[in-house]
Amino acid sequence: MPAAIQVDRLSKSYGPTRAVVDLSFVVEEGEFLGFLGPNGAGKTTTIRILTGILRPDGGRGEVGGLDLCHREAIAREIGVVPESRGFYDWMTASEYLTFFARAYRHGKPAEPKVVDSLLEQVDLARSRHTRVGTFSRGMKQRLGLARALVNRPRILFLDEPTLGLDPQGQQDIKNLLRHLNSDGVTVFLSSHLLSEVAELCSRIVVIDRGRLVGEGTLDGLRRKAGLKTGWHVRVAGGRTALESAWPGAQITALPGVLPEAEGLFLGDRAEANRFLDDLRACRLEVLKFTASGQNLEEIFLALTRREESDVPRDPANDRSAAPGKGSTRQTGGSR
Amino acid sequence: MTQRLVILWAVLLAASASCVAAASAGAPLVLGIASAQTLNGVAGDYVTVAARIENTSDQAVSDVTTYLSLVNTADKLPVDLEDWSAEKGLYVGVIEPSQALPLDWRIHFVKPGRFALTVVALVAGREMPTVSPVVYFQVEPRNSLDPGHILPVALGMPVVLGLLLLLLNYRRRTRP
Amino acid sequence: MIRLIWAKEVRAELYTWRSALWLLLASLIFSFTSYLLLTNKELTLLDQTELLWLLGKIIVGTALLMVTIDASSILTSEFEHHTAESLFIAPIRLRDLVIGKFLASLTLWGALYVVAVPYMIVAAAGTRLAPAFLGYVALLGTLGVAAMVLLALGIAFLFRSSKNALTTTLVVLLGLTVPALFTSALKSGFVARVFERINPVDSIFAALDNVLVDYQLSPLQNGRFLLPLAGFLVAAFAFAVFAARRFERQGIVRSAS
Repeated sequence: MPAAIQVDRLSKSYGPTRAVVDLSFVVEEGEFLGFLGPNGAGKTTTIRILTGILRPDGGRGEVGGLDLCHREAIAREIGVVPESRGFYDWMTASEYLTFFARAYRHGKPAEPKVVDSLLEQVDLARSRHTRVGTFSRGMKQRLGLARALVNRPRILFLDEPTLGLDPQGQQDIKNLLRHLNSDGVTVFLSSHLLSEVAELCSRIVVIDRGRLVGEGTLDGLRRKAGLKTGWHVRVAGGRTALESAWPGAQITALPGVLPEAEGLFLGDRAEANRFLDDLRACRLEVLKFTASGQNLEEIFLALTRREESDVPRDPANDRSAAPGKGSTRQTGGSR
Repeated sequence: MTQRLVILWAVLLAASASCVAAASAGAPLVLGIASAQTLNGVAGDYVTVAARIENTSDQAVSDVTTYLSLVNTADKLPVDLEDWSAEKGLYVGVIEPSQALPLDWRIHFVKPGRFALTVVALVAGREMPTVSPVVYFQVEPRNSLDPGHILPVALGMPVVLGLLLLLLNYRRRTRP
Repeated sequence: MIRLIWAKEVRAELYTWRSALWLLLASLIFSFTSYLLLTNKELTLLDQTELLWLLGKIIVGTALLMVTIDASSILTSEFEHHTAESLFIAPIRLRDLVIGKFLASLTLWGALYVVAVPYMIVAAAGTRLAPAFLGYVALLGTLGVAAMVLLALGIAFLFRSSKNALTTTLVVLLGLTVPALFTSALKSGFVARVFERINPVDSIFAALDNVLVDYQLSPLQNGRFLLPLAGFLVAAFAFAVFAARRFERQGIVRSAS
């Protein structure tokens, strides 16, 4: 199967700041790829290079089998929901999509059908004659996605596509993306919602400071990060009881009328079963024993964690201190 | 002694009085405006004021300067000749005995109205100017352009344009 | 694609009231000045040809100012409203985008000219100069406006900010216009005379004077004025091409954001 996206030693700098450094990865046709990295990792720059908005300083890449220098040809193959979403506020939703439908030369007779179908897909059909300037952030987000689909793209680049959407809106978009992917559209999803990436993507690429730090399936990345599956354990009987069955464990005593204690056990499924037997042997009442989700956050942090001395401090671009989405948080006790 | 001084004083007084009388006397000049009949015109016209100055004495008169004086008889105000003529004064110099000289001023009728024009001659050292007879003339108003059509255009264009633009935006907003 | 961009810009100009207000303002300026010129007792004593010259200068000057201001932001607004990225991820060539926007700015000039036509016809009533007046205002205005729009687009490519592009373009326009309004006494020096010969705004005003006051109606008789104007247009075009290429090399976004 040919590669939908191929990146080979891609580099880009903004003055002294190296945004992307020798980045290489491949996205297969029909794949749903998650693209992760902390703030300033170079995700948006990479997407901008791949979509022809920026020229790389070095390396090469192909999108849809086309070299990156063929911006217009690539533009016909791809759909993009960029990070910076500007809209022509004076246009109505229908006018906005018609403008882009014309840019892709759909032909006048086909335009209304294309536009109506897209507005239906993103649930904006009732607002087709409303000016975009009056749209909520979520509505604009959906309109941006509709614009990205106006040319029925083979490859879809999405930079935080569900940002600003309510839970129902997020679910609708995720369903739409699943549907598009099942129709053979390659999806390149950059998101800070790790649960979203874990839920949707078959493979994940993690970058940090412009470099590739991990690539593969969730299990592969977990192994690379040296992580085991975590199991949340909650028992009745208080901290001492759990400690006696599990010496050396990090245990949290939970407040409440009845004494309860909680801890996190790391191990594969067989080890987890043996541990459960030990708890029963100690006559502890197990109230909860669940796998701690996909653990992508831990994997992500393990892959992107930087020692203080390792981080070059640029006062103008202090990424490690940047608040907000994706900032590196120090967590303890889970490993 | 005192009587001698009084006589000398009287002689000096008489001498100075005769000098003052000689200086105050007008110069033996006659001024006239020759173009009195042709001065009437329309605002915006350029006309020539043709005058004549003559020395009627048997002695030359030197250092003669002539100028125009214009009064708006309706407003009862002298007119500033700034915009009317580039040469407000003409320096004649010496006029020989019995000599007559022409004086020409090209003037631009800037404003309509009824005006009184005189030509004045000044001789250096003499206190009394020589003035020509007054010539009255009428400057009729004139519009070189036809302002008749400008008002509808000046008022109509912004109104029509504003309405057109409002209509365009209204149609867009109300379009289904 | 050029037509698509042009149509979008023209609609934006109308529906955001940007150009609509320019047109209204221009019609008020033309109304006020032409009414004053034709009815003021002392101004009516001007020779009619001089009045036409004055009105022609006002029309072209107003258009130069308004279209230049408009053109300074027509490109940069795409960066400032973050719409440039969505434009360039569509298969729209930079050349098409620039030509579309250039034509949209010229359309504003066209609309201003149409608004000015009734005033010119009324002012020229009674003379045989109306066709020459209309023709030369169109020709000289188009050359001047086209050059200023290209200059504004080039400056916008360099700065990518409406404020900086507008300020710089207006300074250039003022630098060309103010000396053109000097009296002939102030233009007597060698440098002033040379500048007068090459200054496009001076050329526009002098050509109008030559046509309307001196009745030199043939374009050949106005070659010495049209030539610097054409030269300015070519230079502005070259500058715009240079700035657009530099912009393309740098990329649509210049910094990490």
